[in-house]
Amino acid sequence: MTTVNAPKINEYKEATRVERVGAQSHIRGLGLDGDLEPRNISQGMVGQKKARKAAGIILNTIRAGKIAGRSILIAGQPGTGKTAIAMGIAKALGNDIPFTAMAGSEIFSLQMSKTESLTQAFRRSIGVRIKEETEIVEGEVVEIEIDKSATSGAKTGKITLKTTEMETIYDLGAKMIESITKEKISSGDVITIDKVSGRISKLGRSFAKASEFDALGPQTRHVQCPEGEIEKRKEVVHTVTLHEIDVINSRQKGFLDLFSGDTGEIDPEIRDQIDSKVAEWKEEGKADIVPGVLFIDEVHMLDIECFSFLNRALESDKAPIVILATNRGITNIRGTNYKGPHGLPIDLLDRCLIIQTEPYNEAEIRSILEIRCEEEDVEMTEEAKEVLTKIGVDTTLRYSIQLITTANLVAQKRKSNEVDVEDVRRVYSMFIDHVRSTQYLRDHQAEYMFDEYQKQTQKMQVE
Amino acid sequence: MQSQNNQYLQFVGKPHISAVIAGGRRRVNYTFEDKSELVEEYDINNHELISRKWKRLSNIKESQWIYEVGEAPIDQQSELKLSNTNPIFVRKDTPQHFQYRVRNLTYPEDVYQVEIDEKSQEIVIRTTNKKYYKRFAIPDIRRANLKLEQGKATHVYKNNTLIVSYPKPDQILEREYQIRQEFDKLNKKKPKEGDLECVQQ
Repeated sequence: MTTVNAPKINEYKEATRVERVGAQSHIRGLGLDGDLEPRNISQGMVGQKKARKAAGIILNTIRAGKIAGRSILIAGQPGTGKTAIAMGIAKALGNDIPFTAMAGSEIFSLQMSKTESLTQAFRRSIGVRIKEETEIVEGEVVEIEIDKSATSGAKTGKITLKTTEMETIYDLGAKMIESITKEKISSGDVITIDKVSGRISKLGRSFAKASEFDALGPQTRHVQCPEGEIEKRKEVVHTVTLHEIDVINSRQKGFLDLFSGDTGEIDPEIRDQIDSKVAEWKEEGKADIVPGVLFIDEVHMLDIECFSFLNRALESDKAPIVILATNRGITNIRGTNYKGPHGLPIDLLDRCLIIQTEPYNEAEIRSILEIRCEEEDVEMTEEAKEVLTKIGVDTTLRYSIQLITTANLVAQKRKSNEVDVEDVRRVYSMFIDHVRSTQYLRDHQAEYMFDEYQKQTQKMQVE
Repeated sequence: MQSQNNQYLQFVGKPHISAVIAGGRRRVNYTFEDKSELVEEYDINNHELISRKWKRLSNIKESQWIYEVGEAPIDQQSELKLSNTNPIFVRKDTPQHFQYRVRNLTYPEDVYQVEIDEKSQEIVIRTTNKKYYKRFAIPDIRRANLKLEQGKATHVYKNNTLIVSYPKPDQILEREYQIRQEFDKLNKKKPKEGDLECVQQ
């Protein structure tokens, strides 16, 4: 029988944390069907069919894993779903394939040179799948006891696990208690705990306890009570990135540095050693190389040196698939005095397949707004949705998305669960979009500080 | 069945050996070609093996010491550690026998069953009340390419401790005798704390 102390209501809130909703959190995939045709509204994606179809082809190239160093450029006006498509690809690839997302300006760090940042980004996107022996604890849960100290508030706990042959009791640390509560482990579950990483996996429920519970989740499996010893060494398949292997081997305390994020420059000799070792493992069949995806957003922020580096790096057979995104038109190539399409030099553009994204039409904007309303948990009347869609068409998509939650808060203030037209009008007048803001500035420039514009116009008039 | 492959950790190639007197014990360090290490500690007077631990280097994660003989220090900070009410399994040999002790066992004497699994070459401790179970191999015997023989394992239960013994084969007794001779020679030089010694193996 479980002796979990009945938690009070506020403790439940602690256990299932509310996740903050991000700008792209509604994207679950590319929304393609079996033939790679994009469904109009699917997995959080709306419209943008041509781009999504192209992305689907890229997705399959990545999954096949046989072709290295392809690069793709997603270009389009602001608010046309470039980052969303990249997110879609990331979600569709799943957890096994390394996906590194970064913004162009992250390259410029005081602690590392640009080429080092890029090299690390590349190596973070290549995974090595290795089979390793780790120590695990596997058994059926007999009892979990969690106590909260009245004085310090610290949680202590014990868990009793059993197999067909034995029983063992473990003392739990704070992090383990958190994981157990989060995964909702209870008596009768058969679990595995990796002793080294601390990860808990639920294998299912024990057959013996099947009759005691009525309401089970749809995915509950029933498994046998494990046999033999509770502590075992098992072979587990790990995917680590080349970058992680570099860091661990570059210094003694390398392992801890991975978490502090402070890796600094890594000796190229070490990288060569790692490369040859990984090649060895591959030949011996011990490991598999999994090329992943490197997504660089705002790629126009990179300069000509970075572009030259990219050209070269893309030619190696160990390069990941690189996806670039930018919303710039013909603009200055940083580090030079020349302009180029999308701010990129033509030799890099030549190596890229370019996917264009286009601005959304009214119906698409309406669908996107509805998806976001659902994601942000906001109820809206039909009229309000109409008005918001109009706003989205007249101003920008992002502005109207941002009005959703704000309008919701205004609606709650007047004690209504649903957002109505008046709430939308209210926030529209309170928060100005950039078009109105620019207009306002043009009209009132003289009243702002450090007004140079005025003096310049006076100068021009004199001349 | 999960095989405990790492239990019979083998010598890989010719190791570099060094010995030092530390903490009143003779500590012998073996460093192998693949950078893995073996550390043995012997009592300085009667040359009894107190502890033996191995460290294999892994490229992927931190290496840890694996204790073959003697107890590993308990990591107090660990998130998951055995409660102190659990039985504790420790190896500590006598001159004639390999000996394994399981402390903290409170069940009656007739509950314990000890047998040898010839197929997996392991000794198995069972309990009829399904409270304790342990399978283990004897690495020294594996390394000498010998086999565990059915019926040779004996057990005794007293003071809440189960003691399982297996007699050492002649081959191993001889080798240990040689090691003791070697240590006696080193002891003649009257070593003090912190002294480094050169050892031939």
